[in-house]
Amino acid sequence: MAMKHTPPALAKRLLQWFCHAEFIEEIEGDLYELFQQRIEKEGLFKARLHYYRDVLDATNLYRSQPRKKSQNQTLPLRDRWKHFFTIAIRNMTRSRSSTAINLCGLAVSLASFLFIALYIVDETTYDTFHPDAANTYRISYSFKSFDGREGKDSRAAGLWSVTLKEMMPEVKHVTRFSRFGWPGNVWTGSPDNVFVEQGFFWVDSTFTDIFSLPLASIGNAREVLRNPQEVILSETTARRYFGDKDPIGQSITYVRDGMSFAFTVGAVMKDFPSNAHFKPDFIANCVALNPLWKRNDEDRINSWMDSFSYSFINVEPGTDLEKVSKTLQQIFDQNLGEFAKTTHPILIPLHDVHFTTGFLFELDAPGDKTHLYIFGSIGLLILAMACINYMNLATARSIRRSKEVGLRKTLGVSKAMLITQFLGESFLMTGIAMVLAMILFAVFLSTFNMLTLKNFDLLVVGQNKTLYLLLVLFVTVGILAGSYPAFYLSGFRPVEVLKGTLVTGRGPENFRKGLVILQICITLVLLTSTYVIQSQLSFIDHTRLSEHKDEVVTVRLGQNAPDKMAAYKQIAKQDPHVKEVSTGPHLPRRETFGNLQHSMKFSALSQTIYSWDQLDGDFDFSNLFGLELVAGRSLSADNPADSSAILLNEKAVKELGTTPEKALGLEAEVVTFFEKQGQMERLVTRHKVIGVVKDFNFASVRLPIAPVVISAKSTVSEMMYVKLDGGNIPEVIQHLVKAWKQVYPATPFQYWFMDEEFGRLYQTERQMGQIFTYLAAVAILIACLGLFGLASFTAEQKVKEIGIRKVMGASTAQILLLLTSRYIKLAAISFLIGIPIAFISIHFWMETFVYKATLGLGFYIVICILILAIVLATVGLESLRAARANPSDSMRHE
Amino acid sequence: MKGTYLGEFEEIVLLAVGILRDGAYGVSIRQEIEDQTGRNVNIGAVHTALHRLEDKGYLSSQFGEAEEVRGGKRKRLFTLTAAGIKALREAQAIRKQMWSQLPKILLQQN
Repeated sequence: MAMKHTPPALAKRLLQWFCHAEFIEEIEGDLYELFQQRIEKEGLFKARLHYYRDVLDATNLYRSQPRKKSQNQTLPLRDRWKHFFTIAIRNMTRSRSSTAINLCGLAVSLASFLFIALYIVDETTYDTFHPDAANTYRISYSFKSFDGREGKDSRAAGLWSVTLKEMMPEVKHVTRFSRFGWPGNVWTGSPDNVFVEQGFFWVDSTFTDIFSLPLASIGNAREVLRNPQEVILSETTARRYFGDKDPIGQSITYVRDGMSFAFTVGAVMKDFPSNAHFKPDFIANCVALNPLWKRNDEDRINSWMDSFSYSFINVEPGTDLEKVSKTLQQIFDQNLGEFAKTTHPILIPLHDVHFTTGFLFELDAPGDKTHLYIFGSIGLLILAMACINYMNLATARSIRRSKEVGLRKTLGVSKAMLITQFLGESFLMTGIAMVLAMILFAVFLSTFNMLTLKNFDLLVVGQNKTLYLLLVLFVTVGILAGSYPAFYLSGFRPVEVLKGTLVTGRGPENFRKGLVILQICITLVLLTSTYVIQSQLSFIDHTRLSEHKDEVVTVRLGQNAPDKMAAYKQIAKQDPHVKEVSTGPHLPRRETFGNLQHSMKFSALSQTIYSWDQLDGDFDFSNLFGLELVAGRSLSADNPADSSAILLNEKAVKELGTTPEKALGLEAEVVTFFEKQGQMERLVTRHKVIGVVKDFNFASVRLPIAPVVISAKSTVSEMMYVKLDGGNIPEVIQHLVKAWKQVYPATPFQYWFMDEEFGRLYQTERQMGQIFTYLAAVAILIACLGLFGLASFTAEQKVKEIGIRKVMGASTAQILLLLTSRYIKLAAISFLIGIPIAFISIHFWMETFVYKATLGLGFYIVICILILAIVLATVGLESLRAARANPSDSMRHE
Repeated sequence: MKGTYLGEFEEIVLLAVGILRDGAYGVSIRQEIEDQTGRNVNIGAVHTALHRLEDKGYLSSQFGEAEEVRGGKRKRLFTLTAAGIKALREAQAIRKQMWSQLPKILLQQN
C-alpha cells in the first residue's frame, strides 16, 4: 500500500479534546479506518470533510458521558488488590522492627482507648436503664443547721413526695426507699451464720412504677413487693446465701436493735448493672419494719420532718419543674412550721444523680466528670502518640520507598493513586492492629473490671455502639496515621528520586522533631501526675488513725451492749494478743452514718455557739487509737468525774482562740436537740475540758480536720474496737467470738477490719491512681517504641557516615554522642515545655485535697532525669550497636 | 418499560452485530447496515446506538487487537448478549402478532 494519508490533525485534536477518554480509542480507530476507505473511494478531500463531520458527530454525543462500568486502562480490580497486598506485605516484612513497633503501639493504644471509651460511656449512662429515666427526679433539699450553716441532704421526708402526688396530676408515680441500719445483719439457718449486709433496701410497693427490676427467677416483682413477708434477693446474694439451692421459699432473718424480722425469699432479681447509683442486694417492703419505724411514738417513714427516705418522682414529659418545686415549697410552708423558711426543695434528674456532689447521704461515691475528661484526653493522647510513631517511622523510611514511588510515577501512576496506596497501607496496619487490640481487650478485660469495679463482659464488643466506635476508630486512626506519609511520599518527583538527587528537606525532619518533643512532653506530664497521685495515696495511707487500721477489728454492738462492756473486755483481754478494747462511734466517719454534731458554747470565753463533732467513746478510746496528748490528761476510768469530762483536739482549741494549756478546765455547755412527738426538745449538759489531743484524721483526708470533742459517754456507742497485737489473727478472732457468746448470747458477732473501711473511703482516688498508672505505663511504652524506632533508623541511615568516621579514628563514645545528642536536645526542649504544663495540671488536681503530699522542685528534677534516662536507654542501645559495628562491614558493599 | 424499548435503528444495529458475529465493530457494523438497507449511515449514529445498547445490557464489548489500518488503534468488538437476543425476539414477536391482526383487505389494496 502506498504511503498513507493521515486524517486532519485539527480534527483529531478536536476529537481528543471533546471525546470522552473511554471512547477515544475505538472511535479514533473507526474513523481512521473509514477515512482510509474514503480516500480510495471518494478522494482525499471528501474523505477529510467526512472525517470532520464524523468527529463533530462523535464529540457531540460522547464527550461527557462516561459509561457506567468504568474500565480503567490499569489492571483489573482483583489484580490491583493483589498487587497492593503483595507490596504492602513485602514492605512490612522488609522492615520488621518498625512494623512491629507500629503494630504494637497501635494495638496497645487502641485497646487502651477502647477501655477508656467503655469506662466513659458507662459513667455517663448512669441509671439510664430505668424505663422513664429522663422524666424521673429525686427530691432532695437544702437546709440550714442550728448554727446557721447551709447543708444539702439527698433524702427527703416521707410525706413530701406522697403529698406532692396528691396535689399535682403531672406527677405520675412516686416511690421512696431507705437503707436503714446500714450495715444491717442478716442470717439464714442459724443465728451464728451472720452476714453484714450493706445493700438492704426498704422500699415502697410502688418501686417498680419507676425503677426497672427484672427478675432472674419466675414471679412478679410487684406482687412480691406487696407482701411484707417476702424479700427479693439479687442473683449474687442468693448464690452467696444458698449456693446452688433454689433460693425461692428459703427464709432469712434481718436483725436490728435486738428485733428480728423473718422473710421468705419471694423472687431473685438480676444484679443491677454497674452503672446504677444504687445496687440493692435485698429489696423488701418497708412496711415489714414498721415495729422499728414506729417505736418512740414516731413514724419515720411517714413523717414531715424526718428526712429518712430517698424519694423519686416520675412526671409527665414536659412538666414544668419550677412548678413542681413551687408546689413542694408550698407543702413545706404548710407543714414544716418555722423550718419552712430555711428548707428548700432541690430536684435532681435521675441521670445526674451519679454526678451530684455536696449532698449528705448519697448512695454511691459520686462520679467525677473531671476524671472522665482526664481519662478521655489521655486516651486520645495515647492514640495520637501511636499515630505519631507511625508517621515518624513512615516518613523516616521514605528514602527507602522513594525509588518505588519514582518508578510508579514513571509508569504513569497518578498522585491520587499513590496517596490511595499509602493510605491503604496505613489502613491495613490499623486493621491488623485492631485485631490485636481486640485480643488484648479480651485478655485484659477482667483486670479492667477489677480496677474499675465494673462488670463488663466480652459481649460489649458485639454491641452496636461499640461497633460504631471501632469503625470510627479504624477510619480516624487510619487517616490520621497515614495522611501525612501518604501526601509526603506521593509528592516526590520521579526524576530526582531515580537520579538519586533527592534531598529530603528540613520540613519533614523538623516535623519529626516536633512530634518527638510532643511525645516526651506527654510522657513527662503523665509520669509526674502518676507520681503525684501515688504519693498522695500513700500519704492518705499513713495519716493518723489509719496508722492503726491493720490491727483494729471493728465489731457492731447491739442495742444494750455497752452495759456489759466491762465484762466483755475482761474476758477478751485474757488473750495476750488483744491489746485494747474500746467502744465508740462508727469510724472512719462517713456522712452515711449520720450526724455526730453537737452545739456547744464555752461561756467562759464567748457566747459563740460551735457545732462540733463529738466522738463518744469510752475510757480506752484514746489509748486504742494512740491519740497523743498535748496538754492535760486523758480520760480515766479511775476518776468518776471523768465520765462527764471531755477532750478537745488542737483544731478545736485553735477555733476557740486559746492555747491548749488555757483550754484546760473550760466548761462546755452542750445543747442536744431531739424530736419527741413532732416537737423539738432541748437538753443542756455541762462538760469540763481535761485534756487536749493532737489532731488526727477520723474521716476522709479530702475534708479538713474538724474540731472534735471526745467523751467517755459509752452508753451510745455503736461499735466496739479491738486492737490486736500480732498473733494468729483467725485464732484471736475465734477467741473474741467465744467471749462474745458468753457475754452477749443473743447478739451476732459481726466484725470487719478497719483497713477495709479505710480502703472504701478512698476508693475513687485509689481507682483513679491505678488507672492512671496503667495509662501512664502505656503512654511511656508507646513513646519508647517510637524513639527506639527512630533511633534505629537514624543509625541505619548513618551507617556509612559512622563507618567513615571510625576509619578516620573516631571513638565509640564520640559516635555514641553524635547519635544521641540530638535526642538529648529534644528531651531538653520537651522539659521546658512539659514542666509548666505538668505543674499547672497537678496544682489543679491537688486543689481538691485539703491535706497534700508536698512536692519540691527536686521532684521535677528527678522526673526529668528519669525521662532522660529512659530516652538515653532507648536511643543509646540502638546507637551503641551502630557505633560498635565494624566499619569494614558497613563500607564494603560499594 | 422505557429503558428496554428497542428503537428501529437500534434493532437494525443489534441484528447487524448478530450477523457479523465475531467481527462486529463500528466500521463493519456501519458497512453491514449500508449493505443490507441501502441507507447512508453516519458512523456517529452507529457509535451512539452501540453504546446505548451496551448500557441497556443488550451488547457486551471488549477490545480487539491493534491494527495498522486503524492507525495503531484497537477495535472495540461487540457481541450480542442473551438479553439482546431476547429483546430481538420480543421485537419480532410483537411485529408478528400485529401483522397477524392486520386486516387482509388492507394488504390486498396495494
